[in-house]
Amino acid sequence: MKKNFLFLCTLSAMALLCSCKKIADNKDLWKAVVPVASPISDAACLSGAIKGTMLSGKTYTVCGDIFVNAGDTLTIQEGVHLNFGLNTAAGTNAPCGLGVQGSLFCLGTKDFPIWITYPGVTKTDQLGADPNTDPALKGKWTGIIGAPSCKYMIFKWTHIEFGGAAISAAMKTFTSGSSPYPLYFANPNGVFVLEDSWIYGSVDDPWRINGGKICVMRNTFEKCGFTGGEAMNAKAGTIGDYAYNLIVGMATNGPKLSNINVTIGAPSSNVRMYNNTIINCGYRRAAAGRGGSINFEEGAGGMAYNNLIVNCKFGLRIVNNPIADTANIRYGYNWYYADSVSVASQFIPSLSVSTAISQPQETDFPKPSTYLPNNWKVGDAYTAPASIVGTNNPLFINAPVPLPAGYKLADISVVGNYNFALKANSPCVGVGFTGFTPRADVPVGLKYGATEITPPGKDIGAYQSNGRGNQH
Amino acid sequence: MIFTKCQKKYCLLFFLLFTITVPSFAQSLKGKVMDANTGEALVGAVVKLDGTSLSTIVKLDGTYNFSKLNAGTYHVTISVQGYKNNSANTVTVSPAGNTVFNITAEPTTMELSSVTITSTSYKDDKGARRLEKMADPLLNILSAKTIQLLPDITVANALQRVSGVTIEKSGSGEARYPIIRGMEKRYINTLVNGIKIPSPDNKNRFIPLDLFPSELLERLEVSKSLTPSMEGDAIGGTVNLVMKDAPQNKLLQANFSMGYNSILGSQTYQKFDKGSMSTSSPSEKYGSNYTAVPTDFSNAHLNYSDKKFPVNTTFGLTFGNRFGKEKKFGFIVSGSYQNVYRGTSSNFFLPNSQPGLNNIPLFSDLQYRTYSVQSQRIGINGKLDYVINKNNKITLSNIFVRLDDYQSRTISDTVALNSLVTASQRSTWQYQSIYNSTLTGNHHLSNSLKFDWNLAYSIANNHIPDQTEFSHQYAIVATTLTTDKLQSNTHLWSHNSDKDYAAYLNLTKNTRLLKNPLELKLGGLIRQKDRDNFYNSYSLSPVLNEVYTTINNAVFIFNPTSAGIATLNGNNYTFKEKISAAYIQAKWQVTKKLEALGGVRVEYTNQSYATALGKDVDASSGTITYTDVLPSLQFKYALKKNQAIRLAYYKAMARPGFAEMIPDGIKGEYFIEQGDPVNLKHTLADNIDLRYELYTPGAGQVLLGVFYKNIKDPIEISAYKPLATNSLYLEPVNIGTATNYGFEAVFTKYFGVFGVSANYTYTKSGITNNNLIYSSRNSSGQIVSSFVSETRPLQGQSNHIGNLSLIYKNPKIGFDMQAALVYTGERISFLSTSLGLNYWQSPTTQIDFSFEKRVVKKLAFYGKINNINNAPFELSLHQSYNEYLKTSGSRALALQSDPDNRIIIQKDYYKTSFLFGLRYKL
Repeated sequence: MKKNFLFLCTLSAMALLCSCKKIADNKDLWKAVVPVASPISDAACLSGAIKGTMLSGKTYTVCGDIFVNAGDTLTIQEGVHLNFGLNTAAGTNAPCGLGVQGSLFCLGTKDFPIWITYPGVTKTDQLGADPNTDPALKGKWTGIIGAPSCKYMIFKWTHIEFGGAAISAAMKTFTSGSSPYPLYFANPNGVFVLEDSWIYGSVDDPWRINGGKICVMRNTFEKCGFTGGEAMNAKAGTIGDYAYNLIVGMATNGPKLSNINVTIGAPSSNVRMYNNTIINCGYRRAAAGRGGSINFEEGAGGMAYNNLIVNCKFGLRIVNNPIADTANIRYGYNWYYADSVSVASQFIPSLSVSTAISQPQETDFPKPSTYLPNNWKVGDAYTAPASIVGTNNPLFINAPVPLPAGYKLADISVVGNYNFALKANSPCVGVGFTGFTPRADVPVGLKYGATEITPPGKDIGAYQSNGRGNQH
Repeated sequence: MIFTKCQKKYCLLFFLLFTITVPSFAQSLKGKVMDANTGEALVGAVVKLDGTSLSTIVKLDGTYNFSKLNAGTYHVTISVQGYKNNSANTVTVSPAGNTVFNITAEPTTMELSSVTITSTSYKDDKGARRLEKMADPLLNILSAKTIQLLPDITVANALQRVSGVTIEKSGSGEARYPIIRGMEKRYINTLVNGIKIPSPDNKNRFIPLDLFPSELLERLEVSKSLTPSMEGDAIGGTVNLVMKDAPQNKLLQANFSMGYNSILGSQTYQKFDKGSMSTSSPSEKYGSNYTAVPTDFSNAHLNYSDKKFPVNTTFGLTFGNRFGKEKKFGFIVSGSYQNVYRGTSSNFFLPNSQPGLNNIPLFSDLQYRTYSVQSQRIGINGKLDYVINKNNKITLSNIFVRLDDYQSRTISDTVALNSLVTASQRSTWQYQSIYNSTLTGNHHLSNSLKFDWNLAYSIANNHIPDQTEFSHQYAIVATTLTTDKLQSNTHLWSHNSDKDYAAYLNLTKNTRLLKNPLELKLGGLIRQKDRDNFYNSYSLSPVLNEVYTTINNAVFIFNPTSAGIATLNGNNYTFKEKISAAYIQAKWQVTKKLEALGGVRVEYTNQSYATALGKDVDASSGTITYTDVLPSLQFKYALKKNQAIRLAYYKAMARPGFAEMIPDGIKGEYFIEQGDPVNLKHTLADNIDLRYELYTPGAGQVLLGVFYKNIKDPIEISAYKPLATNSLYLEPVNIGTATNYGFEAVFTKYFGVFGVSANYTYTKSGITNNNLIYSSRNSSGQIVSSFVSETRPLQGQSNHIGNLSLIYKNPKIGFDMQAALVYTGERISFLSTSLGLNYWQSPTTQIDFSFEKRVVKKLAFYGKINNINNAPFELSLHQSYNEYLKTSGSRALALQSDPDNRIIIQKDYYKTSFLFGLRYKL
C-alpha cells in the first residue's frame, strides 16, 4: 500500500513537471513585399514603387498603382503633368492611384502649376448640369493616399481633378479600408500643406485627414462630393490653419472638424478657419440635418472668423451630439447671405433639424438680433423675416448672387467665369476681425512647409483688397 | 391559456377607432408621450391618426407633432414595445391653431400562474446516473427520456438544463452556444458519437447547437474534466451528442406537433420570396474582373407580405431493428423535421465609437429592430452495426443536419448627428449543414487487449446567397428642405465549407500492477481539415437625391462604375489544419477504494492559411505551428458504495477561431469583426476539480464540487477602433492570465410521483487589462486620452447560474409534467477598449413548461411551452444614467429602469411559444 502511494507520487510529480511552461506559437507569416523603387522616367508608363523627381515641364503617365515607400521621397517639379490612366499594367480596367508611405512634395508655381488628373475628360460645367452624369463626381482615378508613416505631403500650385475612384486592395492596407479620396493623410505628427491649389471633383470628400499639422490656404475647391463630401473633412487630432479658400458647390460642407478617432498622445483637433468664401454648399447631401458651411463636431475646437457664407444650406454648425469642444471654440464676424427665407432660417442651425447649438454672435453680418425672434433660445428653430432675404449682398465682382433666375441653389457648383473677389464698394471690405493670429503649426519653407501663413485679413472672405489672400 | 391573452396585447395599443374630419387649414397637433408611472419619455413610439395616412414618431424630447391638420376630431393610436392600452384617446383639433394633447401609456406587467410538478424514478435516468458514476471524467448526462420531456426541441436549448451550463442566444434570439462554468463557447468542443465535427460557422470552430433537433439523441453528455484519451481543446468541457443506437428489438416511434409563437400576434411576420435571390454572385458567374451593373441584381425579395398566424410544425420518425443470422445486423434511422417561426423586437442604442469627456458614453444611433425568422431544421441519424463475432463489431454512423433560416430584419434608426431616421430592411436566407460519417471498429484481440478505431469524414457547409439590404432616410423634423431620401443598397454573397478527415486509434491493455488492476491505454489521432471561405459584397448608390417611394420604384447605380468590381478581400481564404495527437494513460486501482488515472497527451497543431489579399499585405498568408503537452491526473476515492470523492487535474488548450487568424474583417450584426494573426496566440489552462458524489436510490443524486482554472492567454473579443476609421471593430485579443474558480451543486430527489432537480453554480473569474482608454481634460483645458487599467470577470461568465425543475411523473396514468426555471446572472457580453464601457447582459430568469399524457396505449399527447414569463434580453453599461443625462450633448434614452447604476442600451423580447403534438411509439 505504501509502495503504491510512493509510485503515485512520482507519477504526479512527473505530470506536474511537464505542465509548467507554455510552448510558444511558431508563426511564419507572409511579410509584405516592399517593391524596389525604380527611378522615374517619362519614356514608359509608371507603375509600382517609384522615388526621385519628376522633372519640370514633363508629362508622366501612370498605368498601375504607384507607391512611394516608407523613407523615400517623390518630388514633383513645377509644370509637370501627371496623368493617371487605367491599370493596364495589371491588364484590368481598374483605376490607379498614388500611395505615399514616405514623403511627397508637389512644388508647382503660379506660372507653371502642376496638373494631376485623368486625361481626356470634358468638364460639364454649364449651370444646372446633371450631377448623376457629371464626370467630376465619378472618380476617374483613385487619389493620393497617405499612410500613417507619411511625414510630408506638400502641394503648392497644383491642380487635382477627377479623383476619388475605388481604392485598390494593395492601397487599402495602409488606410484601414477608408473610402477613396483624392487626398488622404493620416499622421498626427506629419505635415500637410495645401496652398494656392485647385481641387475639382470627387466622389466623397476631396480631402480627408485623420490627424496631422496642416496649413491649407488660398485654394479653390469646386464641385466635390456626389452625395457627401467637404472641402476639409478633418478628424483625429488635426491642428493648424484653414484660410482664404474659395469653396463652391460642395455636396456637404466647406471645412468640417472633429476629434473622433484621436490616438493616445495626439493633441485634440483644433483648426483656425478664417477668411474663407463658401458658396452654395450642402445641396447634394442626402442626409437632412447635415451640410452647409462650417462644422465643429465631436471634441473639436478652433476658431471661425471672417468667413463669407453665401446661400449655403446651414450656417456655422456647432454640433451637440457628439458634442464639440465648446470650451475651446471661438467664432464671429462671419457674413451670411441668403436668397430665400428657408436658407436664412438656417443661418443659426437648430437642435431639432441639425443637432446644433451654435450661439448667435452679434459681430456676425447680419446681426442675429435683427432676425431672431424675441424669445429665441440657443438650439431653437426659427423662421427668418422676409426682410433678410437678399440683404447684405457682398458685391462680388461677378457672381451668381443673387441666384440667377430659373436656377436652383444646387445648380451653382463651379467658379467658371465668375469672380468672387470683392468690388471696391463691397460692404465686406474692412469689417473683418484681425485680433488673433494663425496657429502656425507647420514650418514656413519653400519645400518642407508653407510658403506663406497668411494672417487674418480685414476684408471678409478669401479675396483681400490689399492683394493678399486667394491668388486665383 | 391565460398567457396568450395578455401577451397578444403586448406591443400594439390602440387608442381609438373613428374620425370625423371638418375641412379647414393648417392647424397642428402636438404633445408628449410618456410612461404613465415614471413620466419617462417614450422615444421612438409610433403615433398614428386613425382613419388617415398620417403617422409620426415620438422624438427624443418625448414629443410628437402633426402639422397642417384639418380641424376636427381625431383618434390617436400609439404603438410602442412594452406598453399597454389607455383610454384617453380622442382629441379635437381646434381651428384656432395649435392643439396640445399629452398621452400616457401604462407599462405591461406579466401575470404568471405558478405550476406544480415533480417526478418518479425512470430507468433511463437511472442509466444516466450510473454512467455519471462510472465515468472517468467528471460527467453530467441528460438521457433521451429526460430530453423528450424537456420543453426544448433543440440540443442548444436542452443544454441549459445541465448543471453549470448557460446558453448564449443568436442575434435573433435562438439559443445557440453553451457556456460551461463561465467558460464560453470557444473553450468547449463538440462531439457527435465521440467524434469531433466541423462547424458551418463562417468564422469559428464552435458548433451552433441549434442545428441539432434534440430528439435524435440517445443522450447528451457534458464532461467537465479531461482524460488523456480525450481531445485537449476543451478547457471548459466537452459536449458529446450520442445519437440513438440500433435497438435490440424492433422500434418504431413517430411524433407530430404544431405550435405558435405569441410574439407573432403582436408583431407581423414578414415573409419574403427567396426566388429572386441569385445563388451565385456576379463575380462567381462572370469572373472576378467583371464590372457588375445594376441590372445584375434583383431587389424583389425586399418586398414583404404579412404572414398571419404562422403555425410551427415538427415531425419525427424513428425506426430500428436487428435482423440476419443471430441478428448480427442492426440499424436505426431517425429523422426529424422542424419548421418554426419566431419574431424578436429589439431596442438598441448604439454607443458612439468614442466616449465623451470622462468616458461618459454618447449614443450615435437609437435603433428599433424587428426580426422575423423562419427556421427549417432537418436532422437524419442512421446507424448500422454488424457484430462479426463476440470479439469484433463494426459500426457505421451517419448524421446529417441542415438548417434553413429565412430572416427579415427591419431597423428604424434615429441618427443623433443628423437629426434623422434611417429605415432599413434586410432579407437573409442562410442554409447550414453538417454531415458526418464514421466507421468504427471494436476488436478484442485477446482477453486483456482491446483495439478500437474510427475513420471519420465530415463536411460542414454554410451559404448566405444574395443577402440584400437597403435603406432610406427622412428627417425627424420635416422642413421644406427635407424629403425621404433613398440610400444605399447592398448585395452580399458568402459561403464557407469545412472538410474534415480524421482517424482515431486506441489500444487498451488490462493488466495488474502490484497485484491491483491496471488499465493501460495508448492511442492517437490524425486530422486534416480544409476550410474555405468566400465573401463578395456589392454596394449600390441611389441616383442623386432620389426620393424614396417603394423599393420597386428605387433606381440604384454604381458610382463610380468601378464600384461594380468586387475586390476580393481577406475574407476569401483557405485554411488548412493538421492535428496529430498521441497519448498514454493508465488507470490503476491503487487500493480497494482509491482509483488513479493519469497520463499525458501531446497535440501537434499545424495551421496554414492563404487569403486573397495580395503579396503587398503583411500576414496575407501564413503557417502557425505549436505543440502542447497536456498532462492529466485524477483520483477517485470511494467513501461508500454510493459515495465518492474525485480529484482531477488536467491541462487543456484552445485554438483561436479560423477567422481570428485572418487579417481582415466582416461586418457582423453590429460591428465589423476582424482577426489578428500577428499577435493572437492559442490558450492554455491548468484545471483542478474536486467533487463529492452521492447517488441515492431511484436516480437521485447529490453532487458538490469546487473548481479552479488558471488560463494563460485567454482570448477575449474586444471592441476597438482602428486608427483612421470611424467604426468600432471587434477583434480577438490575448489578455495576460485569467483565473476562474467556483462551486457547483447538483441535487436530484424524487418523492413518489414528484421530483425536484436543482443545480447551482457559483463562478468567479478575474482578468486585468492595462490598456483601457480614458479621456479627460488636462490642466491647459485640452481633451486628452490616456491608458488606465481595469480588472473584470471573463467575458460570458456569470457569478450565479441555477436551474430548478419540478417534475411530476405518473407512469400509471401515463402523465408527465415538468416546469423548468433557468437563472443566469449578469455577465459581460462583449468588451470595450474604453474604461467602464463593457457591455453587460442583465440577469435572466426564464420559465418553461412541458407535459406528456398517454391518450391510448401507444399514443401520447404532449406539449411544450417556452418562455412563459417573456424574459427579456437586456444589455447595459455600468454607468449612471442620471450622470450621463447631466452631460451636455446627452439625450434621453428610453428603457431605463435603474438610472442610478446602469445605462440600458438594448432590450429584446421573444415572448412565449407553444407546441402541442402527438407521439406514437410501437
